[in-house]
Amino acid sequence: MNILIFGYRKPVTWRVRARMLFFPYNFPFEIISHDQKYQRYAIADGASTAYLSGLWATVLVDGFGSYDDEITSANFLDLIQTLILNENWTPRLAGYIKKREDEGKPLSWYDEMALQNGAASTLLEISFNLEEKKINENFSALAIGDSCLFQVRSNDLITKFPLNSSADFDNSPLLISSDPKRNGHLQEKIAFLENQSIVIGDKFFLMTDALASWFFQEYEKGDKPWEIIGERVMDKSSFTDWIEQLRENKLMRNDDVTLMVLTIRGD
Amino acid sequence: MGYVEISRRNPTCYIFLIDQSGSMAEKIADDPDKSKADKLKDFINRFLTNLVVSCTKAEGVRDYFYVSVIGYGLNVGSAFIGPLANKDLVPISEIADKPARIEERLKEDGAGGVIKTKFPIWFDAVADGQTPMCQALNKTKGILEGWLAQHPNCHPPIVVNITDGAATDGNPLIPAEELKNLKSSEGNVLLYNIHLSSGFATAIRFPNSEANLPEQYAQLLYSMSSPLTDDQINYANKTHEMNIEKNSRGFVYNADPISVFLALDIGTKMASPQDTPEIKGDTPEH
Repeated sequence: MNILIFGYRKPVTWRVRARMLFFPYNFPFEIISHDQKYQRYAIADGASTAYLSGLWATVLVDGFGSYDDEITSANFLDLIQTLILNENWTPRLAGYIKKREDEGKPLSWYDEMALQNGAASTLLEISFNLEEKKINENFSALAIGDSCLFQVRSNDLITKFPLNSSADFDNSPLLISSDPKRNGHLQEKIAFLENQSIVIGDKFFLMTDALASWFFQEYEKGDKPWEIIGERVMDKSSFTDWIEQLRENKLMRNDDVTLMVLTIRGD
Repeated sequence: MGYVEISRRNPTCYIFLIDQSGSMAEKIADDPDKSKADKLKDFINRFLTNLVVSCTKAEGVRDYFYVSVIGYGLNVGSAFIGPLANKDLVPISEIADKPARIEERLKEDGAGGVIKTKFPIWFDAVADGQTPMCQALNKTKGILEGWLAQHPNCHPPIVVNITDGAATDGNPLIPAEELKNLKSSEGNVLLYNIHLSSGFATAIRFPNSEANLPEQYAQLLYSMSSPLTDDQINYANKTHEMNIEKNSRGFVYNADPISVFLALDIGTKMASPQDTPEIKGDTPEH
């Protein structure tokens, strides 16, 4: 298959309020190297109840988004330790602590305790295999928590991941912690989607829980929420106004929102 | 639907009513080493620590909560010591910055060893005088009337009364009902009771009937307590593998207070870090 790259040179990505972080690993086609094996995109939703979760979400997306080797259930927790904690989190955290000291605001007792409890975040990642700078006909995805992926083909929803319905959301999603002792239970709970087909024209929607819950509810009513999103992602203000409207009308929980839209295009 | 989210723009308050009467010097039934007053001291200090930490974000402590600790014993009034002494309602950021002292304690590190941990103290053990619970409930009502006038749409304020049971200044049911009749647009004030008893060692958590409670005082405190919401019951049963039945009340007997707060998910129902919307994004290319 001769699929070249995503419909937008950059995917459409919006976030409303800062808790949700997106870091689209979206290298312009020209700089994809010939030996690059994967093109990855990720969103992460830092838990508002944990300390430095925004930084932790950033590190997760940075680390996994730019990782260029296979990610499996067998190596995922090892990658959290090596790729994420050792290579990314530890130096970023040291930088944060030094910055606080430089600013004359060293960590207080409560910062230290909050740090001991660890940061926490969901993660949703989608991988496309590359061959000769082109995307193969398959994609895979992994998820921890309730950030959701939807795949739409020919105006039909063909993939929902990792949740299946609006009833699957609750207040305690799975989270990846920056404290490895808290991640032991994740091993068997990582959701994987493998060898899924893609064709030209497919659209992928990656979104955090509040918007995903709305998406499911609309779909369950027989509507096509991706069409509404399509109309609302043309510019920042119409997206913001729409999200605010959903919140005010109690159609969506008052929570931060990140949305990423990818479209597969041909040459 | 649950209650409104707690945010800096729409904070709520906790009021602890702490029995400091002479009988609190007695030991609790299941713990021969510590007096009830010592247990209470540890609980309140640990709870405040946890609450501060849960409100700590990269840029500081967010004022999601205002907290009051009212002691009742020889006197009825603020039980804070140190810089917060005599203050009735204190924003959580001020609590964070003004403990009376910070002790060091040892705790397990989860890998077989122990680590030093800081233990801030805002409140000391006191056991002296009678048990003027009615006065304490009335004082709380006064504080909350002021709070609700300024925060009419807040998450319902939460009052936690911790006692060994016997009021000496009248029937506490009456001021308790008056207190629970106060409300925000989100609902009535919530009153939970924790009974520390010398009588029976068996812990009872969130009963839905007074029939099997072992003491008359326990039955009285049960009848003063607010019912738990379906959301609270579902959360506790799912997350903490509890077995709370419908129509249960916010009352526990000789149970670890921290487990009570964990079970009810009190203190974590906070809004997102940003109170003001922020938009950042890439402009789509067509």
